[in-house]
Amino acid sequence: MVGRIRNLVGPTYWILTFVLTVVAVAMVAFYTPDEKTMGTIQKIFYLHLPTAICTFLACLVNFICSIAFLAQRRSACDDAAAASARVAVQLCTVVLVTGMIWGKSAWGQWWTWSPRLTFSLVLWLLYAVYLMVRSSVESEQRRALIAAVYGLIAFLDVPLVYLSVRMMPDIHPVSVSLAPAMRWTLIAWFVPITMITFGLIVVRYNLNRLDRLGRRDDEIAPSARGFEVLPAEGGAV
Amino acid sequence: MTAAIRQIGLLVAKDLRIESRSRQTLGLVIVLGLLIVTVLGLGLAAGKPAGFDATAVLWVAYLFAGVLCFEKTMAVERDEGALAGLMLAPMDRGIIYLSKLAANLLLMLAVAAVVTPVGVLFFGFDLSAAPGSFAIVMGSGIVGFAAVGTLFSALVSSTRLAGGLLAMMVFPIALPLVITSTLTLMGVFRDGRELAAGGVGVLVAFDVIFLTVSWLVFDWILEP
Amino acid sequence: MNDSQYTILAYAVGLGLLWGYAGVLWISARRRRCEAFVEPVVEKVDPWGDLGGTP
Repeated sequence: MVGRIRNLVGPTYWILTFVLTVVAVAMVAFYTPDEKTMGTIQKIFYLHLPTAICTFLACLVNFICSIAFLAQRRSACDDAAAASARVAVQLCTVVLVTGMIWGKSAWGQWWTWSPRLTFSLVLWLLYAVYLMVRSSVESEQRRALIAAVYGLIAFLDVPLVYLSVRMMPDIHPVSVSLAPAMRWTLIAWFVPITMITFGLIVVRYNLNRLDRLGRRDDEIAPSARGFEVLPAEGGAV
Repeated sequence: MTAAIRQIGLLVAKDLRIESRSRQTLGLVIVLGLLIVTVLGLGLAAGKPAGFDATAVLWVAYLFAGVLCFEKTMAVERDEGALAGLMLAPMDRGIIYLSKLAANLLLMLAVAAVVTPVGVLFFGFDLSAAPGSFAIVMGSGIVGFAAVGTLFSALVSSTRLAGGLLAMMVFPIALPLVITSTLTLMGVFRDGRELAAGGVGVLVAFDVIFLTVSWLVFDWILEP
Repeated sequence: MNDSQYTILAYAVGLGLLWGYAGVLWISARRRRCEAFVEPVVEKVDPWGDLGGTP
């Protein structure tokens, strides 16, 4: 009985998320008025801002899991950190792409070195490197340790990046005053995007767990049959 | 406190003695820095009167030279299990970090002392307007860069592709240093303004945060 | 392209990246589940295990 309810949680969550996404899209298409000075293109904002906030949330999850790993050395923390970093990169890609399309329409250029575009790019690089570092270390323990320290340092780097790009000349809209209809649409977008973020992190985490536990079985098998297991690191001198 | 300083002094002297006898790193790194400045100078500065991008070019040279320095000073400990002996010594692990950092800083200082004048010459960059500001900005930038680089070099030195991994990890982390110092120096040299306190503040904040964190984390990451 | 086309493009790419990634994860989760179902069977008929392997 409990198992059956557990099996229903995932699909229900995703169906609900999908319905809310459709509602949010419909609100942008039919309910929200155009902004006066920027026109239709301002509507990208409803996707852009919640995704940017959720990118930070995913990075925060990564930071917490990295510290938890350093303190407790549990493989589950490492898997959660890996999952959240992967989702953060995905979200940051969305922020970058939507921001670039906005820039192309508003300023006629795909890329300008404006503070916020630069900030998103550096954030993307920081966590893309996190994923690359993970994939290039072979030993499981070493990989987890390197990734955790890097995750810790990278997250502490984010506010410094923000402070440093603030010194650049800016052409971004600083604050947009929102009509009530716009505010409702924004809230309607925050809900599905946050749900997608945490749903993706959980699904990715479960996959990482399965992968790790499956691989552990393979590693144990040869030694049990009398073969020597080669050391994973320190081989080359 | 005095014991700690003495320990750091001993370890730094050891690293410098190894360097002075083997002459592995310094020559290599300085020539690499000069090569980078030359290549970028040929690509960028040809046909341009005054190069305010000299600071960015110098940063590229510092970054690559620095990564090589960090990797070499840590690779010394990899040989014949020297690190295990170092870890057996009755002292705080933080001391090991600080001594490695000091050795790296001395090496980078030597590199900067050669590469900077050459870069300034090649790019026709007039340093005489505010040499003090230049030294403060670049100096605090290099300290922060070395703080992170020393931590990561200890972290990745046991992996197969240590050098490439180190560069990949340190460069994005060091980006705020590059952005801040180039913008701050641009303000001083091109626009003729005073040294911006905000810019120096970011650099110092970077130094303080990462020196503290690295010193704390170093305990956990050192494995022979 | 005009403004509304750019807006539609942004939403298509953005939602495509998010839901596309969800779809990729869903497919690999399904594949994992199938493998988990198949693997024990393979283990059972593994000839090496019967020829003197010790558990």
